[in-house]
Amino acid sequence: MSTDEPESDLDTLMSQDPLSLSNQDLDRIIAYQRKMRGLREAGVKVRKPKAEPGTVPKLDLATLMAKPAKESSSFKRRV
Amino acid sequence: MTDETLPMPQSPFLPGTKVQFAWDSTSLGYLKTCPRLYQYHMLEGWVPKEESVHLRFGQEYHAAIQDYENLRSAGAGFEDAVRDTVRNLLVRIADFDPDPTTKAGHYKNPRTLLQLVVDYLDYYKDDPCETFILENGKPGVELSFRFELDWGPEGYVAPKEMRDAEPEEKWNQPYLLCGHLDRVVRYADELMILDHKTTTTTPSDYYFAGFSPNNQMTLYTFAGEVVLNTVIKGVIVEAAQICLETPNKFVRSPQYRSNEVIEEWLRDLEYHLNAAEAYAAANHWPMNDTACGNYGGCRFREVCSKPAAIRDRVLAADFIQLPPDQRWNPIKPR
Repeated sequence: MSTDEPESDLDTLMSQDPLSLSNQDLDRIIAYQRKMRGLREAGVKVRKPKAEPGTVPKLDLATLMAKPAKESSSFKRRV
Repeated sequence: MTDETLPMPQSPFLPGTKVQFAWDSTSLGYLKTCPRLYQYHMLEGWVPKEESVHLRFGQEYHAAIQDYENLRSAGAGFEDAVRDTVRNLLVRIADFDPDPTTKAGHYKNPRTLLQLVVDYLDYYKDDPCETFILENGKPGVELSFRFELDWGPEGYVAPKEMRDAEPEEKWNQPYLLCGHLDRVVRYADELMILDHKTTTTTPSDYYFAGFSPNNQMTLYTFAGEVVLNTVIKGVIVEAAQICLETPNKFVRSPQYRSNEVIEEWLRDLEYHLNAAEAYAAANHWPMNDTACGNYGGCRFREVCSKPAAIRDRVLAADFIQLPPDQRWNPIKPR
């Protein structure tokens, strides 16, 4: 039983029809969970791997930080 | 008395009324906490959009443990039982796809559920709590109960057609107490109910202090004694903390209940149910505005904080109204 299951393989296994999973497939899934627990117990932070470069749209910080253009108000508060 | 020996009514309410005669710890808890909360959830079926995630996660966690217990009591070895439990879990949760951008979906999704179940089974592999085996040879897990109290709603007059068609005892409906016991266990030579809880908060002394006094735990102790016809010492609250970066954590805490505590709870129950009848007769369920901040804040807090005239619009915008057959029903089997 392997405990070195890469997460992408686990994703593949978990995306399959569960009824089609063999005992070996299930053992791999369980082994992966146990490995993750072991890493957490050892203090290793477990996170999902980052997406491949280019697959996530880049945020343009300059645009996000820019103040919106002042629009003329259609009504004014009376004082 | 269990579900197997009782006919199954469709609704927990007396026909043609808003008088509830079948109660479980959830609906009774709503009533005791705030009659308006009870109205919104039990009578009108409003649920927050995220509630289905918590409910589904809890149901599947319970079902996985039940699967495992059944497999083990049928003679399966540990690894075989874990494998079959995981297989059944994956089949059941194939359609479970919560939105991961919500807090509920972030903590409660198929991956965290699978991790929690495997961690749980490994953690309690050599469980000091031994599952009680019933007289029929089945393990005492996920036991549905339903039994009558010796009083019922007063002042209720059944619809005429019912009175004409049915014998009198049929429409003199007593109150029913209903629910599900997760597991009956023998621990240190005593029988106790074990109740599974999942939480994202730390199961500290403060967390467990919330279970004494506690409506659900007292009801379950009483129900266990009625259903099993034996002495039940109390409930072991078993908390599973869902963690994302540290290992999931499991902590148990026994919550004992004496006969005096149970008797007091039953006496108080009569007053609470009388109040429920009075609310139904008046068609008004008053707000308990001292309970709005409990447990991180009531789900309907935003609704109740708005003027009464616009609350229906707030409910419609932020909540889902379940059709009557999908609403919380204490007599619906799991």
